[in-house]
Amino acid sequence: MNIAENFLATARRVPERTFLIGVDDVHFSYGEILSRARRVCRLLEMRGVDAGDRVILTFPNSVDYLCAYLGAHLRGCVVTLVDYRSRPEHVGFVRRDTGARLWMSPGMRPGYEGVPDHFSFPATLDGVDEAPLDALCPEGQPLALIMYTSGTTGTPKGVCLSHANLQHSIGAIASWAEISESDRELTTLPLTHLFGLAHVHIYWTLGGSVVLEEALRDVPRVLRRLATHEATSFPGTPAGFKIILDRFANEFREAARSLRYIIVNSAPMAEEYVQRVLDLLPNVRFYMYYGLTEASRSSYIRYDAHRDKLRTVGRPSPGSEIRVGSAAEPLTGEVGEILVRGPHVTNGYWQTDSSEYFTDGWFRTGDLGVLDADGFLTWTGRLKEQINVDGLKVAPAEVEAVLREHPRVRDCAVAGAEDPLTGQSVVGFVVLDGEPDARTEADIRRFCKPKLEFYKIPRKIHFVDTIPRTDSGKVKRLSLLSTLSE
Amino acid sequence: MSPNDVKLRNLLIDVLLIDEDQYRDDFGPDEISSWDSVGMVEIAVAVEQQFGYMLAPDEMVNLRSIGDIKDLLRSQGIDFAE
Repeated sequence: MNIAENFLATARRVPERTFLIGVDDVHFSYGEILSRARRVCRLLEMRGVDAGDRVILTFPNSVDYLCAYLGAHLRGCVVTLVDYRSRPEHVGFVRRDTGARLWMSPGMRPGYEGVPDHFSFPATLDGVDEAPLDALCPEGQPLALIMYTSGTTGTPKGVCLSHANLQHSIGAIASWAEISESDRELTTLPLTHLFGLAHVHIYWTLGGSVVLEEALRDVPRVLRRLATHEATSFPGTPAGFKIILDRFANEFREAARSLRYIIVNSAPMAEEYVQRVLDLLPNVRFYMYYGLTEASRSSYIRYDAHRDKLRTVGRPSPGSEIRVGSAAEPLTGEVGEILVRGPHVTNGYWQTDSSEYFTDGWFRTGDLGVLDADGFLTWTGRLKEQINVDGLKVAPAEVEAVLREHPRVRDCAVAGAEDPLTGQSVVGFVVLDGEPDARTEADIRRFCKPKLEFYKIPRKIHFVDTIPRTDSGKVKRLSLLSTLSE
Repeated sequence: MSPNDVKLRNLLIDVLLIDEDQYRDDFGPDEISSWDSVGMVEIAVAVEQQFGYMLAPDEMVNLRSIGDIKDLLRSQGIDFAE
C-alpha cells in the first residue's frame, strides 16, 4: 500500500489536527497539507509526469518540501531524494541514472543550471486545482523511493525501497519506540535522508505532529522551540547530542521537560555520552538503532532499559533477522559481516545487478559486528574500511570511538596508510580543541593505550582543521590519506 | 644515564608507550605488552630514525629485551657508557 494512503486516512480522520509546524512556527493541519499536496499531484500531471516516473526532490527542511514529497507519492511517482547541499555534479548524476522526468527544488541556484528538467517549487503552485481524490495513489506502483548512497569511493548506487519496505518500517518503529498520535517531534535532521523522513512517515500514519527545524545550527533556538512546542520526541545524531551535552546540558534539561523519548542513529555514540543522556534525562526513553538505507532500523536498543549493553546497537527489530558471518553457521562472540533479512530490506539497487550484495536471501551489509549470547549486536566498523596491520584487522570506528573520548578531541577519523613493513598502519586525523604542542600526539596515543590493543593505536596522529565527509556524513578516508602525500 | 640511553628511553616511551620504570635492560616482550610483532616493527623504524641503523629481519626477531637493543646498537659503535 502506498505510504501516502496512510496520510489520506489520517487526514480523513483528524483533518483539523496539526501535522506540521514550520520553521517560522506557522501551524499546518492535516487537511491543509493534503490540499497542497493534491495540487502538487495535479501540477505533476500537468507537467506530463505519470505514475512510476522518477522525480527528484532537493530541498532543505520545509513545509513546501513535505508537500512536494507527499504530492509526488499521491501521483504514484518513484521519489528520489537528494540532499539540498549536494553538488551539481551529484544532482546531475542522479538525474541521468534515474532518468527522472523532473527535479524539484525551491529555486534555481548558481551552478545547477546544467541539470535539465528543473522545476522550481512552490512558485508555480498558485491557481492549480486539487487532483481528484479518486486519482490519488494509483495501484500497481510498488517502488516508493530510490535513495542514493554516497559511497566514500566509486559510483553512488540507488537503493530501491518499496512502499512495502517503508510500511513495515513504519509499523516496526512505532511499535518498538512506543510512538503514539499524541507525540510531537522536533526534528533537526535533514528530511531528504531516511532517518528523519521515516519518522515523518510514522507521524503522518499515527496522526502526530512534526516541528520542523532546518538543522542543528542555532542550538539555543532549537532548545527554545523544544520547550515552546512541548516536543515529546527529539531524534538526533551522536555529534549533535555531543554539542548539546558539552555546551548546553543545563538548557537541554530545562527544555526537555515534555520529552518522552530520544532516538539516536547508528553512528557510534561514545558510551560516556550515552551515560550523560541517561543521567541528565532519567525519565526519558532513550533509543539507538542500527541500520542502513538498504535495511533501515534492523536492530534497536532502549538504553535506559539495558544499561549493561550501552556499547551495543541492540537486538533485531520486529520482523528483522540478523546473523553474523554466515547465515548457515552464524557466529556468536566473534566479529564477522552483519547479514540482515526481513520485510524492510531492499530488493536491490536501481538498474544494477545486485546479486553480489545478497547471499541466500540475506543482505550483506558490508558492516562488521559481533552478536553476544543475549542476541545483542555490537557494530565494529565497515568491512571495506578495515585496516590490515600485518594481518591484524582494525575497524576504524573502534579506534575513533576511543579517540573521541579524549577531552581535547573535537572530531576525528582513522584510516589505513600504506606501510612498507606492516602493509598498512593506523593513522589518526584529529580536530583538536586548541593548538597542539610537542607532547599532544604522544599524550593522545598514551590515552589510547589502556583502551586499545597496541596495533590499533594510531602510529601517527595528524592534526587537521576539519574531517572531510560526504553529504551523508561518511568520512572521506581517501581524501584524508591523500593529504599525507601532498 | 648516557645521552644515547636517554634517547633510547624516550624512543621506547613514545613508540611502545611504556612507563619510565619499565625502561630496564631485562624487560622485553613478556613485561611490555605493546612489544608484540607490530611493536617490534615500530621499534625498528624508530631506531633507524633515531640512531641511523636499519635492523635486519633476523636481528628484529632475536631482540628479546631492552638490553639486547643496547647490545646491538653497541655493536654498531653506538656508545651507552655513562
